This record gives sequence, C-alpha cells and structure tokens, in this order.
Amino acid sequence: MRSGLSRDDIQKKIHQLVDTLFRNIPSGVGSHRKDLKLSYQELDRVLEEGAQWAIKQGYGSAEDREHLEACGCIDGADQKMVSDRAKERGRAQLGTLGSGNHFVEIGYVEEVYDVKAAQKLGLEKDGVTVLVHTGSRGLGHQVCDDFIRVMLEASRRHGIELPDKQLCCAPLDSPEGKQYLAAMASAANFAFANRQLISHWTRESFEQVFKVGPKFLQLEVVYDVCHNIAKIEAHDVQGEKKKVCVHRKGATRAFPPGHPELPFDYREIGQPVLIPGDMGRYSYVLLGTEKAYQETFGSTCHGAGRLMSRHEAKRKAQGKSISKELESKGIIVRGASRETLDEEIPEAYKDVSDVVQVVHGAGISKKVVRLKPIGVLKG
Amino acid sequence: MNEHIRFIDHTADVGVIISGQSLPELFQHAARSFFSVLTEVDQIQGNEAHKFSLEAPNLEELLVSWLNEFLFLFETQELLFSRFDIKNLNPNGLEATVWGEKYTPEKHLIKRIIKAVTFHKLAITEKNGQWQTQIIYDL
Repeated sequence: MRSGLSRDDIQKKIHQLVDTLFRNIPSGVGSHRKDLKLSYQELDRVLEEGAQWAIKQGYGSAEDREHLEACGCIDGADQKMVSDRAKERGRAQLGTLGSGNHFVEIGYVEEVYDVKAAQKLGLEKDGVTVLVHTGSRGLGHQVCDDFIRVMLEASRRHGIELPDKQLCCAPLDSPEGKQYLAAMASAANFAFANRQLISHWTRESFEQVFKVGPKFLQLEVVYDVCHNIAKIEAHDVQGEKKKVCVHRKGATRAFPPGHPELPFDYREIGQPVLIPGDMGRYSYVLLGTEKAYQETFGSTCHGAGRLMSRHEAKRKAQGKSISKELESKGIIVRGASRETLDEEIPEAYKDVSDVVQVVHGAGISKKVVRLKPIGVLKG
Repeated sequence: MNEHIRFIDHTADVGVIISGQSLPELFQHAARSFFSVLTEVDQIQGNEAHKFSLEAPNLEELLVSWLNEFLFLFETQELLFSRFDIKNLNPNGLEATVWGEKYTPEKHLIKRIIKAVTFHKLAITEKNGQWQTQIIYDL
C-alpha cells in the first residue's frame, strides 16, 4: 500500500504504530480477532470469492479490487475440493499473519529509479508504504498435504518415476489434476481474503494512531500479487500461442505493459512486482516487462532468498539482541519470538539488491523504487 | 534432545535424522523431533490422553501422516504431546495413544511454527535391526 503520509509524519509515532499493528493483527499461536468468527458456510464463500468476500463484508473498498491480481479471486475455485481438515485449519486462521518470514512492514520510499512509473503507482520519495506478506496459512498447507497423498497414488498409477516424493504429480487434465487446481485456487482465494483483512486492520491501526480518517491517510493498495502458485495462461511457445500451466515457485508474476490482465491504470507501465528483502535492509517495487513475457513466461524473483540455514543464523545471532540492533538502525520490530527473530536476522538473507540487480539487468523486470523499513510486525 | 534425534542444516527448512531400535521407537522419536522443533519438549506434561488411528499405503506415507496428525492437532486444538504409545504398527497403519496438554503461553515457549511435514528426501531404512529416517520440516 502507498499513503499520503511522509516519513517525517510517522517517525515520532512509529513505536505506537507498530504496537497498534501488533494489537490489531493476530500473529502468535492461536491468536485471532474476536470480532471475526467464521462459520463453515462463510468459509466456503471465502474460498470461492477471495478478497471480494472481504470487501463485501466491509474490509476495504471496491477500489482495492482493481489493484489485486485477478481482482482478488482466482477462477475455477471449488470449495468442495478442499477437505474438512483444511477448512478446520483455515477457519481460525483467516485474518492472521502466520510465522517465519511473514510480516507487515512499514517503510518509506528511499530511492526512486523511474519517476514516471513511480508517479503512476502513487509512490514518491519519502512517502510511507506498507508491505503485507502472508498467504493461505494452514489451509493451504493442508490442501498440499491432502493432495500429496492423491498425487503419490496418481504418480504410481500413471507410471511416473519420481526423483523425490515431494515432486509427485498427475496430468493437468486428469481428474486429480483438475481437482487440485480447483483446491489450489480456493487456497489462493483464502490468501487474497487474508491479505485484504490484514490490509484493512493496518489502515485502522494508522487511523487509531494518527486520529484521522481514511481520506487523509490515503492508504491505497498499489498491488497484490501471489507467490508460489500455478496458473493457466496463454504464452508463445516456439512461435505458437499455447495455453500452458505456469508454476511460479520462489517466483512471482511480472506481466508486461499492455497485458489485458493488468488494471487499467497500469496498462501503460506493466504489472507492479513487489520484492521484499530482509527486515534490516530494503525492499523493492519493480515492473514486469515484455522480455519477461518472452523469456520467463512473465515471471521474476519473489524475494531475497536465504543465505544461511536457520541453525547458522541462530548461531550468528547468539548473544546479540536483534531487536535492539535493528532499533539502533531505526527499525522497530514486534511480534516475533526470539527464536524467529534470530533465524530471520538480516545477514541470514542474500542482499536483495543483488537479486534485484540480476532481474533488472536481465530485463525480466525493471526497478521503480526502493523501500526502507522502519517498523516491522513479524509473525 | 537425545542421541536418536540429530538436527541437520538445511537452508530454508529444518532437517532431522531419526534413529531407533524398532519401528515404533523410530516413530516415537520422530514425534519428539516434531515437538522439539516447535517447543521445549521437557515442558510438555503428559496429562491428557488422546487416541487416534491412521492408515496409509506404505511406511513413508504413514510416517508423514503420523507427524501431520500432530501438526493438525496443534493448529486446530493447540495440543502439544510428549509421550507416544504406538500399537499395531505396520506399513499400512497404526493405532496410537499419545499424552500431552494444551498449549499455555506462560508455560510453553513456541520456538518456531512448522508449516508442513514434507516428503523431501524421505526414506526409511533398516540395517541390522537399526531403523533410520530423515525428515525435512517446512518452516
């Protein structure tokens, strides 16, 4: 999200803001909003309607919809393909951040590389931004667990030899393949709804701290895009237009200017790509390019990627107070356990600017702005 | 931790090598490794018994189902376990009675949340009556 606030406006209130986010956005084990009780029927609607369900319930506005991938609802979702176990795991977790590398990050635009594109996205130097990184939570993992069993059986039946069981699969047009796509789309819709709720509570947190209304804050969605998803898309394959399944794992979509799936106001510039870094350094906003469409099926990287194992990171963090160290750099962190903070130390990740430089240099996405974190809510 | 559970470095996830003198022992240590990743197992009191049975097409899938059951019980009922009795363990199923208690924030430190138990590099082997397996937990 972008905002009408500048870095100076929030600097003095950043502690209060991060504390308020921590109160409003559930992040620990078993924590969830008391004002969000979801019946199973309602959950079924979430799975088929995605962020649109949340908007209808008053979490966000109709304008948000335009800036969500697929308007926040992936086609082909069928809640009947999601098991009761998955629903049970998901029901209490809608509107929760989750653990590990999931976060809400308040930052500001530190550097602008493409002034025209930045303007189109509503991003200007020193303007305050919010990044929300979370997904389908336990529901998505349960969908995966359920279908791994189905796919292992299907792999055996189809005589597919697997180098690793985790890579089990079935043909897309088989019953198992179709069922999985419908379940995966449902999980993606859960994720859209989850981010929509968290964005809404982020806005409320800003309103509570600054005691002003949404018109003043102008916290507007720049873009919402999925990570780690397979989608059926049309691409040129050896000179022929073909319908293909693009699985973006550790990757995200980066569609070029003019693509019909882009929101109208971004058609000219291309799809925004959000690349979070580690909590101590910076994150980036890029745009998708024609080259990505031609060479990588319209895909680019989705984050910095780890450099150290969690164990190594923990060893490195030993004896240090990570939150104090970050605070001395002007970054307030809340919410995470000591263990998570240690494992998520900035040094544990590759410098995201190196990663961004590679995709920018390769032309599969181009830099627009760099964001600097000042307040982080960690799951 | 005990000599039957050895953690190994894995960039994004946590890997663990489990050994046991028998299959039920292997499964018990695997369960302990699950809760060791999550919290301090010594802090889990075995007050409440919980019974369940599982079915699977083979031993590997049974092991993953076994661990996934704990993930499910933790996420949906916030249950932590530290004692595991396994009966009728065979490649196609098991019956279990496990003892534990409900998660209490004041008592149990949650170290990390496990997102999934994976099949990545999973194999169960037996040599001279010694069972071994490797599990990668997705965090």
